Amino acid sequence: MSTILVVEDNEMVANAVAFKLKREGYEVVLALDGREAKKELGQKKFELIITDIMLPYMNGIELIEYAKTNYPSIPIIVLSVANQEKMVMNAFQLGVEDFISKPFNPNELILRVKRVL
Amino acid sequence: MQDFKIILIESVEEDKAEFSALAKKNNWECEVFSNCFEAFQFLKDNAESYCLIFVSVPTFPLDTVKIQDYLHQLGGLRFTYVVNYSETIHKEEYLASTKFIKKPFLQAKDDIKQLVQEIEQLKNNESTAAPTVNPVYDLDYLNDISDGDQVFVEQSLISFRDFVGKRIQDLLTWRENLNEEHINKIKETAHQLKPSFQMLNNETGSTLANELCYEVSAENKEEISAYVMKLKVQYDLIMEQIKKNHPKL
Repeated sequence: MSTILVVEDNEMVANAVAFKLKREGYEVVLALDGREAKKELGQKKFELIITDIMLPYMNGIELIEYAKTNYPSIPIIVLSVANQEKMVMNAFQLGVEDFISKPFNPNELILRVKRVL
Repeated sequence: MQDFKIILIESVEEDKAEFSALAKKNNWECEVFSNCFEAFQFLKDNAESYCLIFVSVPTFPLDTVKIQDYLHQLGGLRFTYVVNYSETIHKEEYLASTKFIKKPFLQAKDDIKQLVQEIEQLKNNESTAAPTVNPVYDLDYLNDISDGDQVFVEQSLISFRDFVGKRIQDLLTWRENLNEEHINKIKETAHQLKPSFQMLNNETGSTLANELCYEVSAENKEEISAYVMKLKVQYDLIMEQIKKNHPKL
């Protein structure tokens, strides 16, 4: 089964996403900020990245840029909240595959994950 | 009236006497204190769930915002109203309460009677309502995600208590010194907290976090400060209910 890197600085959201994905049989690695995510990317092979945009230390856009340059084959789904439309547009320009708004709909999350894997 | 008291924090002797007479005439259970610490002690020692609290300003040594903080920490449903002869009180003090009552008390007696009726009504509604009804938060979303997995639901509530609680404390610390760096941190944290309130279906907290992050001007320190307090009050209200519904957490 695929391994998914979830990058989210809100513990409640991160745990909820992880819970739902694990229930579907995916292996999940959590990173609470961009720096941690970068480290995980260097240590493990991932089939998908799900990331928030506003993150501490290294924001989501920087992380997407880094991942698309160094790991171009890994698809990325962006987690966003309202009022981030401009940043979501930037993320799409960097090549992200899809986005999900928070709080996420659990069925939508699984549907979108299956679509990009 | 059982399990419902009116608390007055008032330092002016004439006003104390006037309020006590009004309470006696209307058969209200009332406790009058000269300062907030006496009131805190009373509330600690007495388990009234519902309290209608009048805080006469200016208060000393704590301001109304801090008094509100302490009251929420003590638990129970507390409805606080600021009282003064003049309506031109500090905006923060006004925002920390839900309504303003203008002294003298005798002239405000109809407003006070209405407040008492509203709270008695609320209390009666709660006692006849089904125990699962919860006005501050619900678990629909968490149950939906987890298909009702109670371990997950409880872990999420613990996460709300600790994760959001820690950040609310950070907000209060930064609020003490609203420089540019702290204002940016407040706005980032508000953004971070918004989904947590949404996950508990608490629209007020979610709206406050959103407005604090995106709509309140970074120049308007007074408003930022007031929003931080309102968000804290919302967090306290949710925690109060969580503790009531999940005493083992």
